[in-house]
Amino acid sequence: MEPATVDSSLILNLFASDPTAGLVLMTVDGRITYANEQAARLFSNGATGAPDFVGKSIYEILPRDAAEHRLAIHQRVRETGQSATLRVIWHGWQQLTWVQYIRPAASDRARPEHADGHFLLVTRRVGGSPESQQLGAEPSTVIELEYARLGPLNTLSARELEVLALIGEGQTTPQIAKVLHRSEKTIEKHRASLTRKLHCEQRLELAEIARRAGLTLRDAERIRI
Amino acid sequence: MGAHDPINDPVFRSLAADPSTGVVLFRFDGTVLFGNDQAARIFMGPGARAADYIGRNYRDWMPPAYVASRDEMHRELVEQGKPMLIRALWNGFQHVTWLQFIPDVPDGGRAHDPAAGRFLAITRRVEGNLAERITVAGEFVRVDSDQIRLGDLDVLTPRELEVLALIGQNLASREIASLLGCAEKTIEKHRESIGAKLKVAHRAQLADLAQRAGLTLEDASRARV
Repeated sequence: MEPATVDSSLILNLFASDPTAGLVLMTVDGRITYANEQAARLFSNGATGAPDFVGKSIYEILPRDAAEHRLAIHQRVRETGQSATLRVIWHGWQQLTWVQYIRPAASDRARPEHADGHFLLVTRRVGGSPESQQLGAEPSTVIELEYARLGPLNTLSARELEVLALIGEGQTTPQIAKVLHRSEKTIEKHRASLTRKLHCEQRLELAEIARRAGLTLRDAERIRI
Repeated sequence: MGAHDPINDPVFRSLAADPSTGVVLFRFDGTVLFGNDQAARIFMGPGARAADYIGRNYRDWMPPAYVASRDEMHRELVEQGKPMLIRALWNGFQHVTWLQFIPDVPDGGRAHDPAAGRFLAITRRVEGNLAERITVAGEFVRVDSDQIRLGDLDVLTPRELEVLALIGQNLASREIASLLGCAEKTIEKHRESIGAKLKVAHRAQLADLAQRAGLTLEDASRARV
């Protein structure tokens, strides 16, 4: 039997069928040429499927500044030849997206929109520290995106987000008070407010919410989109 | 290496470079045709490289009970023709493997010989509740591996693992006591013992370890290999 030729779409499907990962192919100017169902759902928090997502430009699905920030990172990946891991809070979850540039194949030259190559984006929901996910010999650079879609956390003030991040690290009220230079009484008030706004009863539930978002002190200052 | 060899495909190579993803392509008999460093670290240990296992048969280094359990899964997968999502607690981390069978002919045609086909295993670390990471309903079989490697948690007794699993679900000692049918005081003692063994002081840190492992009550009675 003659060996069949390699078919990239078959290969792509072997990875794209993984129910835990979103897969997107994007042109250098930000048009989505391929997305699996998982990617569309992660992006829209379940509101849209892949058919609505493919063909869109990043400018149609993100505010202009966020889209430009994102494309600038992609461009850097392309120029340096170094893949990167993007970290963002999206709908209350920490999401890691691994970005790699793929040069155009010989067959792509005939299709103008593919002629400059593609970015391959693999996205997952990841709790806890992004570093715990790294298994490579040389860890990929983690780039924290400037913007965030906080989801259920969007009702919180910047200060409350800081308190929540420290609760997520397992810190006690006296420790949190010290880190944030506030009285314990103030921290207790913030905590009561967090509990009310997030509809939870226990400190550990708050810790769980913080963990899903992989929340850090820096997240308090993100641009909310 | 035979028909439609994915290894030289640019998309395959790109996806296999993801630092958070272990990729292994192996034959029905267990011979590894391709694997990345990430998978070497997951399955062989922190210092392992791809060169340590490519061309070898995983039967040569994996425990017999593990091999037997995998053989059964592989047979079932080929029979049912559906991919598998396998959850395995390995070295203290919860891992999820997306396992697919690639028949020797592209369309899975009638005359194919399973022994000539290959398996593709895509493995990642997943924290906490696996169900929350699955965003699509697809045609696949969910499997819990009955062979586990507890890593740092291996110092714990089955009872302590149960208590830790419930701490990871943010339950209070009172609730844990009622679920496990013993006194609250006993649970407190278990908790102290777990803390001492794992050298962890805070409850939130214990919850963290449990989340990392995605620990469930069933894990307490699984075979440690």
